[in-house]
Amino acid sequence: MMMEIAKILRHQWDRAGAITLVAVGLVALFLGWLGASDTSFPAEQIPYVLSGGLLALCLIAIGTTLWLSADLRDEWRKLDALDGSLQEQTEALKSLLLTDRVAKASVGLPSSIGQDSLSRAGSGQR
Amino acid sequence: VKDRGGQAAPGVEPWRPGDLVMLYLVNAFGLVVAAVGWYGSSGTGRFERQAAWTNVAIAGTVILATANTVWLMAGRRAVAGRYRRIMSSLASPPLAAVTEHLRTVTPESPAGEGALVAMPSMRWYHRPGCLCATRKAVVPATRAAHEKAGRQPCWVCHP
Repeated sequence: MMMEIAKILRHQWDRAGAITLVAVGLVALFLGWLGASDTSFPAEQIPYVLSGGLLALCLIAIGTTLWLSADLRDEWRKLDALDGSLQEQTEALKSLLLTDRVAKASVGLPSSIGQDSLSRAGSGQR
Repeated sequence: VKDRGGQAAPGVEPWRPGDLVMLYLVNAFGLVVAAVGWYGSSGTGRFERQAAWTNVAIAGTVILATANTVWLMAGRRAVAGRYRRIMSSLASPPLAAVTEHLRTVTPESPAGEGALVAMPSMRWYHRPGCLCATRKAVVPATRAAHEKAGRQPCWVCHP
């Protein structure tokens, strides 16, 4: 169980940090409200608003950023995998066309698929 | 780490290495400014002075929020840019033409009416050999069935 939690924390450190920060922010918000509600003097309430309310706002903002950053990292990794797969496929297509079997069948090859085009496809140039 | 197109080069994450350090620094600065505002405000009982220190604390919060927003927008922009590059390379004439050519010359990939494939969640239907459909749990169906499901022909393989 502890190993599982440690594994999750290691792999999802940003989301774990986000949840922690938002939780601490909510606690700070509650404590700030508790302190401000104990007095009716604005001069005594303002420090609670700042230490509770603004601190909570900062923590929640940082927590939200951590969570959204984790989403962006996930998306980036997926695109990375897709990009790699696309390059592999392009290389595979290129080598297929260069084999004898396809070369024999490529009599009706459109003129746009010359060696130059294949090279550009393989190197990812446009 | 920028390429000549001004886009972040592919790495482990969508931001440049220095961006994270900058985010930490600006966040720390914002927190320090907010803490100074709180400290100044709690050290006086005069409302006018407290209001001034409150403004300082709010300024720190705004700095922090701006830094985080810029960070997220930069990440979002990098992801969108990379997505666009991948999609445009899929639609590049050599790749699309090779896909089309292989479809016509490879005997094991006939392009009959029932051979058009798509996933239930897809917006486009594809030829079986299309790059957009490889390594996906696609199911074959007729063109009419795909169009009835609201799908459109893929703009890479042009089924």
